[in-house]
Amino acid sequence: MKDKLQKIVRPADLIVVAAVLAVAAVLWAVLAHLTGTTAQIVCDGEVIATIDLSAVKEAYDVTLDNGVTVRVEPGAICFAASDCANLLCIHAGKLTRAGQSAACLPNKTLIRITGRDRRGPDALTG
Amino acid sequence: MKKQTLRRAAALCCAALLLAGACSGCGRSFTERTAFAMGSVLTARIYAPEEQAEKLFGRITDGVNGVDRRISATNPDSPVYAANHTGSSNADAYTLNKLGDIVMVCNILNGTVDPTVGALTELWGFSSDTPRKPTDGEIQAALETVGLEKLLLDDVNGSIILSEGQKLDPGAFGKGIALDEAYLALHTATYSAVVTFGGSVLLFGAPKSGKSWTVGIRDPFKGENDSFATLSLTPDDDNYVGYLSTSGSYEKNFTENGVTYHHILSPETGYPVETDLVSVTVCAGGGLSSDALSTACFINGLNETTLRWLKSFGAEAVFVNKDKQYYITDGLKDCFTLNDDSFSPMDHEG
Ligand SMILES: [Zn+2]
Repeated sequence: MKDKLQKIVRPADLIVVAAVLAVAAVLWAVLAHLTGTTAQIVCDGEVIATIDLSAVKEAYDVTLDNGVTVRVEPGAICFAASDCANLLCIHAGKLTRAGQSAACLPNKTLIRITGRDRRGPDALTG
Repeated sequence: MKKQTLRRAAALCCAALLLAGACSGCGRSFTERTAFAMGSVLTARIYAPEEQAEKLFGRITDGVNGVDRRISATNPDSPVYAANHTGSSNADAYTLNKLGDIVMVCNILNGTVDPTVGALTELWGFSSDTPRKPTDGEIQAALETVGLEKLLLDDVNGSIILSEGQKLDPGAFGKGIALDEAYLALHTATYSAVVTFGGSVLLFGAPKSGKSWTVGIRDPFKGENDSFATLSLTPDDDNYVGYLSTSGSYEKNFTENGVTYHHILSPETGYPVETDLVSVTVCAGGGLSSDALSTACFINGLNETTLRWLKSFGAEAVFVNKDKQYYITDGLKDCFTLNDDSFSPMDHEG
């Protein structure tokens, strides 16, 4: 009996458990990081592009059918050009954190970084 | 012996993967959906499995689109649009009900906000691509049509009858009414949700990131994703419903001959209201009341009457002026956290 118990929990196992926890922590950090920088381009309620911003090495432009141009950069996304009159979308600037969004209402286009910034609030009023 | 160790290691590695996967997902146990409605962005974060969340979001958008179809001044299918173009229209009970609610709230607020300012807002064109400052004569003529007493909502015959030249603009109430509908779509659900509609917010159910719901108040001097302060709203129970709405002069404005005109018009003068305030955020138990109050408080300014209105609706508010000073009503004092040290408290004796 004692022999069997010893076989189940051996000192070596503790090392394995510690290693496993370390691996889990690293994996968690990587996964959490990835989910924090996924951007979406939404046109009229439809998600037309999902972009992993952490994998972007060089900036590039995405021109949509409605004439709106979205710039994708390493870790950031923003409106680059639009034919709308007030250009509020352009003035919104770069989005870099989870939960941020900007919209071009006349063109029914929205860009956002998905997820919820753990340090940020549940919602924004303004 | 070696084989067993390997097997154990493999099992533990699987456990690690599961653990990591579960933890990275724990902050994301929600489904987020976005739609465009009534010229604004509607976003819902619903803390439910995707299938249920999808269903609830469908109900929310149905409700919001229903408001758009009934009371939007820009939707050609709405009775309000028809009345604005022909002077009168047939309206269903729902439309008359909602317009009646608006009139009731506006009467309590002494007509400081008024849905009959349509002729004025059209003249200024803040929502159009070509806003402009009208002549004084034009403004005086449009002002003649403003007044709740000149509007007839005929429940018996089901019609909206406007006075000569009068036009409806439910813009100051639409988002709030839409959030009231969003609540009706959610109210039997056991899931928590955050619905934002063009800067107005509905909080539903138990908070999901602590014991409080946290809501940032937009910094009037910065971009739309920057907040100068955060409100932490702690519900008494899991059946919490809270609405927040903000009126700010940073929204929809234009500059002509060196003068900047903001979109919040005084129904009394016909001009953008002259005030030191740059934003007012109201937290109330209803969508319509929070929306109407934020505009009324902005127009009326920070004074005894305004504070009495807030009290009568059981609402709380945060006022911000152009000197980066803020005033918080008593009920929010313990819920308020400043995120930007360049703001300071206002010296107003409430
Ligand atoms: Zn735009």
